[in-house]
Amino acid sequence: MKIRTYLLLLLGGTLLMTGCRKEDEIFEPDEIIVPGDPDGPDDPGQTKILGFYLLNEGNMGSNKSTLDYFDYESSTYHRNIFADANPSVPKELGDVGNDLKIYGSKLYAVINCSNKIEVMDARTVARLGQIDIPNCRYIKFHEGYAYVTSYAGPVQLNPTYEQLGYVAKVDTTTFEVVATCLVGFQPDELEIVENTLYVANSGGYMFPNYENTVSVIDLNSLTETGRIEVDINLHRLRADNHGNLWVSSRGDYDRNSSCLYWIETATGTVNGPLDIAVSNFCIDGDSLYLYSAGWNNHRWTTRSLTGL
Amino acid sequence: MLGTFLFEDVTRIQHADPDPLPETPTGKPDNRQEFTPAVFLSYQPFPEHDLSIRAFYKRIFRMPTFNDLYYTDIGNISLRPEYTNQYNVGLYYTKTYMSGALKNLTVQADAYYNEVTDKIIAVPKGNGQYRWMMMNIGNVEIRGIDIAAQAGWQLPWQTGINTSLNYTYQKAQDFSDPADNDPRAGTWGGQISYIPWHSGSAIVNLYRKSWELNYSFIYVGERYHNSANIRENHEEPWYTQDLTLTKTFSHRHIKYKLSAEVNNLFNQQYDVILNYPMPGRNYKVIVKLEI
Repeated sequence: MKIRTYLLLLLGGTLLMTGCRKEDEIFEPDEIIVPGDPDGPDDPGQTKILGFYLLNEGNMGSNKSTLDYFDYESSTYHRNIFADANPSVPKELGDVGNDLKIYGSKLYAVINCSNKIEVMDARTVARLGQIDIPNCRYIKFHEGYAYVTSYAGPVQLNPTYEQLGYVAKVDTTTFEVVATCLVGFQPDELEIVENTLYVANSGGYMFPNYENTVSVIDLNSLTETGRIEVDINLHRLRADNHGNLWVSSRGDYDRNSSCLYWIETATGTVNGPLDIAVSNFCIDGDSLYLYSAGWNNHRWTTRSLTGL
Repeated sequence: MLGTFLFEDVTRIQHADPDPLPETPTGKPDNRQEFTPAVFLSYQPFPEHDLSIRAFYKRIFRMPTFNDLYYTDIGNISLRPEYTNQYNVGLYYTKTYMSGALKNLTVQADAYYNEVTDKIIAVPKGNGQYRWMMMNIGNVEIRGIDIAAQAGWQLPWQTGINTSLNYTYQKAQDFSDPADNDPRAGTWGGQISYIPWHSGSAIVNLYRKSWELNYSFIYVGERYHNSANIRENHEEPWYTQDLTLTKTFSHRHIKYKLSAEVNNLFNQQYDVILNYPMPGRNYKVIVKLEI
């Protein structure tokens, strides 16, 4: 074979393959029309609710947290809307979306492993700014301030973890952290009842040395005034309309399954446990709606060890 | 190898517990024996040409290694052994030339079909490139073609060129879960984790006396992060071009080899694994001494 032919073939092949990379793609949101419920009201516009936002966590380390929106009026589910609304934000929403809340006209998305809270306009999802808090977990609001729980340290399973978590008080107009308060290890949900802030401490990185308390913080001075001992690995914390705080324990994924407690804030009495696994719950009037998926590490199943 | 006999000397122990969990296996795992036949065929159609056509069938059984099973955080004790049926047909041709610039030429082409049950793969967990996890993919079918060609040339002024060209086409599909066949997001029939359809390389080596100039081009085609081949899991192709200049000489019984390298000549920004960018254009100077 002539050398010239051979080299030409080589060059041609090289050039062909170099033409194959595309520019970074901005994803258009998927639009899925959801068919109406045959047994429900004919006109979806009957409800006061315009729609809902849904935050997807994404696989940790993959930077694939996304935001969806379901529009009740047109019955359309819009999937992955953040990039389309904010094409100039590099790496999009971030890694591990953990909590999503609307306060006033703003939408707050707590992106746990990106160490930030994305603040967007609640109507257009246009980015307004971000609040930088390391390993942030959950957010609640009170009188113009946002209170955010943070694990403070790196993501790391360690029974002798040394970094305590904290609650940050953030001004919702400037996005600046104005005060902080140290609590227990790996604090998760928080709730505000009459000028007192309660924080559920999980100690979730520290199997088997889990935390087992709820921190009680005076809101005016933002200092911890006490602890209430409940159970290991506390997660969800919500108040009902009667001055009770409902708190869930994740258990240890082994011998101790998940369960539910309630604390009377007036007296500090802890009641329970109710032997029901709890992943998340919602209080509406005098009812508590919950869903759960218990997991057992030993058996690699979702059946709990206590046979419930 | 026609048969494999496995004697395992590992004892699984329960945690010291008053109430041991009934489903965790204890004691010694059973010894195993597997029958793994293989058939090879080779045929040379023209006695005067060095051309051979080959085919083979192999059944392979691979036990997960000690590291695959037990290594901290990466190991997975539930890993099952991997079974493969391999079918291959290929040709091989080599020729030496007495006159002309082309001195020797070797061409190889293979087409293969592998059926792998419980393929053991290591998948990066995303928390760091050093943290991986082992898993079995139930049923994988791999169809591929490998083409390789090497040539050597002799030019005037005592210069020589060696060239090498490689191309692989691989379609490795995940058929583990027939129920997971949603056209938008399912894994059924999807290309498995980080295996590109097209990949190849081209190397040109120019040499004259003690000097050597080497150009290499590597191409790895588009891949997906996992068997769900959706746009969110898509990884762009990458290709780099490297250039190396080498000089060898001797001085007082010591052999020296000096090289200067420019890697990623066109400064391409690429990721081999999601979110782990690779170096752009970089330079190296290497000195090798042989005493």
